[in-house]
Amino acid sequence: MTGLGFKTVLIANRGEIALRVQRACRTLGLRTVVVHSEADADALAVRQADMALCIGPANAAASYLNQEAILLAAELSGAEAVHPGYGFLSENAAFAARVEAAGLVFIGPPAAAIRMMGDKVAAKQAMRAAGVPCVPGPDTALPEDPAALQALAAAIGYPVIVKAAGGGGGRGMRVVRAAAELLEALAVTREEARRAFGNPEVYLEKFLTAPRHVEIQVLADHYGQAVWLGSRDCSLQRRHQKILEEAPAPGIDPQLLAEIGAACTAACRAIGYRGLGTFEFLVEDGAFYFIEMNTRVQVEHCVTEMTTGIDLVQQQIRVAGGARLAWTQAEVPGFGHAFECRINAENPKTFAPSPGVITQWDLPGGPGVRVDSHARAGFVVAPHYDSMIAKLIVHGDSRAEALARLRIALDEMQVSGIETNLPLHRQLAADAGFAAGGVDIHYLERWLQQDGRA
Amino acid sequence: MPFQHVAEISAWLAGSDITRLELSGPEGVVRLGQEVAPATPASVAVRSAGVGVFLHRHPLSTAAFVAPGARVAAGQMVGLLQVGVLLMPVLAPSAGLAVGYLVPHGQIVGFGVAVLTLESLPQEACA
Repeated sequence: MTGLGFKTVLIANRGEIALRVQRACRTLGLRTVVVHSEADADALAVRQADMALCIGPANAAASYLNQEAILLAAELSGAEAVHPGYGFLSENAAFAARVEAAGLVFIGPPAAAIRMMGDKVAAKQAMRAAGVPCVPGPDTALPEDPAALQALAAAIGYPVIVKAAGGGGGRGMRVVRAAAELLEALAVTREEARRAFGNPEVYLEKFLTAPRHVEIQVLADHYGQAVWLGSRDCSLQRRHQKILEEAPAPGIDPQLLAEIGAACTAACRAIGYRGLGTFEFLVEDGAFYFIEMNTRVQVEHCVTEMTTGIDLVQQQIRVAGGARLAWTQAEVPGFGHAFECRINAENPKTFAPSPGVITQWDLPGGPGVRVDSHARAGFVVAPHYDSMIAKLIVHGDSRAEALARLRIALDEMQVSGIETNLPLHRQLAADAGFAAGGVDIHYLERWLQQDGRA
Repeated sequence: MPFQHVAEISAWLAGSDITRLELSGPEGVVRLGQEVAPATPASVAVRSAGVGVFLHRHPLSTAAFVAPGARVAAGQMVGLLQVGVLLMPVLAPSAGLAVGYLVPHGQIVGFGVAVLTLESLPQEACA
């Protein structure tokens, strides 16, 4: 008996997260059904699944994004719940609604919450209403009148940023440094947004020049209970893609963090949120500004697992199955410091993907070292998907101890046959600015530029 | 020039898998080649086009669509894929002799799963 509302979970994802979800299911005594593409027929998660079903060819549009095939696989296999992992269909409100309409449990928030957070304007309105601090700028549709637009931007103060309401993850945005550029930037971003997201709506915000990226992990149940599980700093990014994350975010006033955390859990209750979620903030001059909420498990959830001792994916499945939160806010543990490096199959200088066969796969070990990966020696890195092949996670009592473990673990990890970004991670781990903590979101790109890289 | 040896070299070539040979000398160039008949695979698999339940026979029938050893025409229905309430035909991609079903009647199958093996017909039968 699992005590949950389901016994079989269909895992609609691939790579390390499919394995991660499968492990969490097993700890709860749940049966797993793994759906996969032809290219992933030999994947570890597929081999270890209680039942595996190929749902389409390598092309994700015909397999991992094929809603009909996934729902059919769930029906045929007797799965009662669907875990979407991250990426693919994880933040697709229509899919979540279809899963629930089919009488299955979507392991994630209600479709309405996904839809609201997917619309950045609606999300900002909801956050403001719940008392979460937001970037200065109106949370309503922009006026059509050019003079009114100019007045609005002037009131916010240049530089401003034009963002697509349907965008996210760094797509559909444009910085405007002077009034003369405003109208053209709005027109171009609107057109891009219409083409890329099917929604031409854009909004205007103050552009922060050197912020940090700090996020708050939340977990909410069906009964109006929500806790926040600490902070993460994900400022080391290249082209809006996170490379190296840590928990907690260094150098943030604990009192301020507690206030922000409390505002996040209040927002969860206000919008009827449940499951795992992440509130992403820009932090500049000691102030937090909400940018977006991710309504799924995140790649970097592991650093929070290391600093709380909580299996987040297991808890996500438990609350989806109707369980109550296991802790009050005061009981949420927090100890030490953790880092996570995203190990990608790519050239460390040009960042060009490097698919191929892994011939050597030596993993690091020792206290506080964890590797989440679906790869192994002989594994073929397919060109069809994301290039991440492993997450190297370390924990220590202090940031200094965790960083020392990170450096050793990065040296121990040896991968041959393909190129990886391990050399880049080794350089970052040895960098004085990073070691000091609290770098801004442009730090890595400046660093790469000075190093003559893309 | 080695014209007097052409017949001899041709005989050697025929016994090898060399498809083209070029000899050049002061008197000219000789090119010899042989055409290799395209290899016909000994067997071909009929594969499922999607996720569903594979049926050897129609739900209202007791007879399977094909019996082992039966001759199957290209495009002939050899099974059904039940997708929800729909019954989708599973068709032979080419003509052949049915060897046998590879999955039991009523089994859940995924995309690309081989459900039936067809043995290629003898060469003369193809003409």
